[in-house]
Amino acid sequence: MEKTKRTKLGMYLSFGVTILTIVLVLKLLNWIPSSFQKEDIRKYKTVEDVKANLKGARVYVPAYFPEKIKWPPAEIFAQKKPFLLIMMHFAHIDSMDIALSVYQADSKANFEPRRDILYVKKESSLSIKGREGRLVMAVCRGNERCNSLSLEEGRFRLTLVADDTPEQLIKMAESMLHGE
Amino acid sequence: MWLSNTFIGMYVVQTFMHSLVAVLIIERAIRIWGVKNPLSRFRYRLMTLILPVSMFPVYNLINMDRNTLFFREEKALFNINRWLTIEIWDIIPVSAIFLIFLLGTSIIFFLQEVIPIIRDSFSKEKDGNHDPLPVNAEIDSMVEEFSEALGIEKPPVNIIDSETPVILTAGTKDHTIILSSGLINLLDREQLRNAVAHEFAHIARRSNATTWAIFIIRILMFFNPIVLIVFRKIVQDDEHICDDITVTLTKKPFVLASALKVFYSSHDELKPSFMGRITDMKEGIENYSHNLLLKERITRLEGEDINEDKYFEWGKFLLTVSVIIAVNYFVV
Repeated sequence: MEKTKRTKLGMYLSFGVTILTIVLVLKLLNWIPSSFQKEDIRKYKTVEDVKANLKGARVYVPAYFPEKIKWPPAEIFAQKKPFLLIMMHFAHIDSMDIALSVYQADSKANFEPRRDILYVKKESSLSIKGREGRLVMAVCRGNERCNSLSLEEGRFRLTLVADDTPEQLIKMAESMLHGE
Repeated sequence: MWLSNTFIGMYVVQTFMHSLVAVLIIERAIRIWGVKNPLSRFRYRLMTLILPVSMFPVYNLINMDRNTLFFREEKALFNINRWLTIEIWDIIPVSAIFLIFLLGTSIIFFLQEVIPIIRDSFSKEKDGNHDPLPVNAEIDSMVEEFSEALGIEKPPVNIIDSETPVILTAGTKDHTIILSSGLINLLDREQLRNAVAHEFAHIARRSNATTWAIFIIRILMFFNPIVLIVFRKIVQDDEHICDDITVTLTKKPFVLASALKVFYSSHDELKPSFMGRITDMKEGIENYSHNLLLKERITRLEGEDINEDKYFEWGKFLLTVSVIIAVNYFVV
């Protein structure tokens, strides 16, 4: 009886070890490419780190933020290949919720930031410091406001998505651009 | 990049990874849990096909964000896109190598499974229906006996005039046992009784219908090399199950083993020379794998380890399946 119990326990232990080994191997296989591949998507700690890694490419960051948005970005992801992409998420000053997302992608890449839009209230075209822009006022999952502003800047498409007013979005977009 | 940007591409890639994880866990679980009964093994291995074919759409229904960059980078255990975006010496994309690998599997599937079916259906149309030979009283009494023993309707028996030893069951709903005159001449009465009993086991288990259902999953994952191997293993398990049913009917495993030896092909197996024609090699490989399966069945029947662990342990099975589902959720 005691022996059967021990054998059963051994079986479950062995099964557990197998699963743990598979999980660890998967983790290792996931890590290997990033150890020698410096160009695929990675998480960065600071904007300076992104600038250092993406030598030559300009990183667009708003100079103006509404008071409720916390600096520095809570999360930064960037990749060089298959196309250049930088994503920054800014948190609310008083919570960890994302208040603003800034996407900078190669305009040829057909990259669309993912949002769970419930419905679009209004769409309009506008000019921001001479660049053609598109403002979308929408409501996303959880009935949250998720307005967005996209514009073409050189070889990039910049997109800002925020739980904020169109005026604030425009101000932030303007602060990202050089020129008049 | 098609493989990582489109729904079909992601389905192809993730299904491959999910079946790889599933096969590793299931084959290891079969050993750890000591699953020896072929029916139990059959159930376990079936999960290697059923789970991966359906997992990707189900996961996406549960969590729409599962394929986003954030999930891939932050939550996933393994993100295959990290590998697919690599370029060896900056010229050879890993994704292209992976695609060639899947294409190779698809070609094998086409040559091995699709062409024979097409060829077979065409040759049947061309040959037409030959008049079957009359069924002798001995075979008729065997059919009667096994129909009663298994509680199934007495199937018709067709005896074809051919020297090649053949016995098979045709049909998925209404079954017909097909026997060749050559086989009747080669086997003694007891061997023939065991061979017929084996076909009855297939009818009782509805093996043909099950194999077709599994084959549909196989078609859906024609690009997947793991499915190619597992499908064969499942068919092998089905043969073992039917051998076990036969033994419970006839109580003579050694006689069934001796009957199987008749089918053991004397053809050349793998030809060492690559100078031969591809068709010769293909035939050689097929004979080799056919003989390997027969050899395994014969050894098993001549050994003493059949019909073990008769009770299927659902707890362990469900634990294994749950772990596969949980791990694969984080494999994108």
